[in-house]
Amino acid sequence: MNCKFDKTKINAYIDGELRVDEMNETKEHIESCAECKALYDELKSVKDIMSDIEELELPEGYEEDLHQKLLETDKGDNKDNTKVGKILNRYNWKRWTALAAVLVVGFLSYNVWRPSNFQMKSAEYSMDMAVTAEESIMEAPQAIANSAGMEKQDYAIRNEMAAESGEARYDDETSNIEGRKIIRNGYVNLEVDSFENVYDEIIFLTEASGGFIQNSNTGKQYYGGMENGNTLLRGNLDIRIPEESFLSVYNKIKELGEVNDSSIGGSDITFQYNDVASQIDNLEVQEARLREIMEKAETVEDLLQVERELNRVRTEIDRMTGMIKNWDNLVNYSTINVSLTEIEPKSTEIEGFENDFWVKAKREFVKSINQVISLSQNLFVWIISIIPFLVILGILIIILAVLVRRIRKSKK
Amino acid sequence: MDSTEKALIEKSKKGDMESFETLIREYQKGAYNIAYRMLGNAEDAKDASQESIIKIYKSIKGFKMQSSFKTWFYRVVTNTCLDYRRKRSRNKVLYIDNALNTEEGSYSRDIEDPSDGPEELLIKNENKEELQRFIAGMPEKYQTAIILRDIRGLSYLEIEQIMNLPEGTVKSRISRARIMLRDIIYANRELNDKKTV
Repeated sequence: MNCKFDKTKINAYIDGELRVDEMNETKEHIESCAECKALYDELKSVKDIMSDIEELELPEGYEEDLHQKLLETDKGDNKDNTKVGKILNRYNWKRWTALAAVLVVGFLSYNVWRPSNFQMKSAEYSMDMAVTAEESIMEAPQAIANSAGMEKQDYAIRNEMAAESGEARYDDETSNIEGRKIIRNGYVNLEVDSFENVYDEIIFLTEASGGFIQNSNTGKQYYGGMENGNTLLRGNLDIRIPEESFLSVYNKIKELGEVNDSSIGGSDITFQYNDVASQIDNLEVQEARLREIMEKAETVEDLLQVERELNRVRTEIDRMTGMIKNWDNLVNYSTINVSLTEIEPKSTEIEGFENDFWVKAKREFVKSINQVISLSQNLFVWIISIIPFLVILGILIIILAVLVRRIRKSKK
Repeated sequence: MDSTEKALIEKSKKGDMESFETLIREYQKGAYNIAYRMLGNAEDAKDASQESIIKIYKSIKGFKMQSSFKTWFYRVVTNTCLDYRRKRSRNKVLYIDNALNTEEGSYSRDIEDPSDGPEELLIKNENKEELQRFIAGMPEKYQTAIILRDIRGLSYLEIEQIMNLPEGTVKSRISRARIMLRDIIYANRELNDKKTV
């Protein structure tokens, strides 16, 4: 292509879309320039080929399909002609968004003005929780007593049975709440400022109440890195307290430090206890009988057989008496498991901030997220709660709008 | 715009579907053909052209009588087809073995079956398939212009209104498109000449 003639013009010439003078100019050029003539011929044939492309007929069912689609569009539009849709259309959505925004802002400022509101509620709630927890601890023995009452009848029958076969002597020895056999244990996890003081205090309490220390272990732990040599103590104590002073000691221990965790448990073993006790009685009767038989035995064989039997009965009695003794011990002396952790005394020193910087940041972050969650929950609840007011407000607004319209009309 | 068309538009504006259908009866074939040339297959052509007609139905209330209904109609059609084309190229659908129906018969498109003798078909149809495929694959700005001009036979002025472009741009686009087509047609012709020899 050496010719600099505007190809667009050749093209427009083919289409006859040039001004008269341009048409003439182009025509002259094509006639004189072989190159442009060739281009003209080729482009002309392209146009012919293109125009030759036959027009396609609409595929079968095109119009029916289109009709169907148009009907559907109509229906879709009609949906918005429902009452709500009309209202929404008339007062367009922007107004509603504005209204919603006002509500949200209202809610937020309401909360900002009275920030204590929700917090107070939650504080009350947690106080409730605390009270219930305390009550439940106080009520624990009572609850046990209650259940004891329910089972009293059964218990009485068993007592009778025991009395029939022998005397119910074990009962008297370890009488408990209304004769119940209850193994009680408690658990306290304490954070203390000074491990030694608290440890001594616990030992004092235990001994004063007539109890004893069953187990104790103490260990060191490093904090703030091994190299600076700061250590704190921690340890576990299993103390046994006479049953009657269990609760008072338990509560005193709890006062010695910051309670992380505490629990009281009890298991009622009255039935097993009585079962075993009456079994022992029966076995003892059996033993006495065997002894009688042994005295009467004439052959060595008989003697050996009776002895063997006597031996079995004796072993059984010993085993069961051991159980009873163990239970008595457990019932008479409640166990308190104390776990002590020494914490760094709140010092007046300037704290290094790297240590818990991220922890704090993380904690605050989580706190914020929780606040957002609870705020949105509250928002939802609040919106639901003001619906009645909104209804009344809406009615008032409608009445007002109607009145205003009437007044305007009458003015006109 | 003649008076019957005006009356039909007025009625359509009031939601008279029958009038609307009468109004578009003479245009819907054009819409379908434009869509077919732009998109290259019957299914898309049907969907896109019907979609544009529905758009027109929905928005006819806003149509101002100042411009011609024809150019407005074609503008909606070409824009819808361009959207369709862009959407399709984003999640490209290859019509593997999807028969392509034309007035000359049906052929397999993307996968050629050697036993069918594709050369013979190409020669018989004088490159029409090739041409169609090429038009459908053209850059959109040239494609719209050349389809409206050479296949629909619209004037430059109408194309200017439809594409909302100045005169010079329309001219150069048509010119450029035609030269592209010339290149492809002549290249193919030589190829086929060699094959037939």
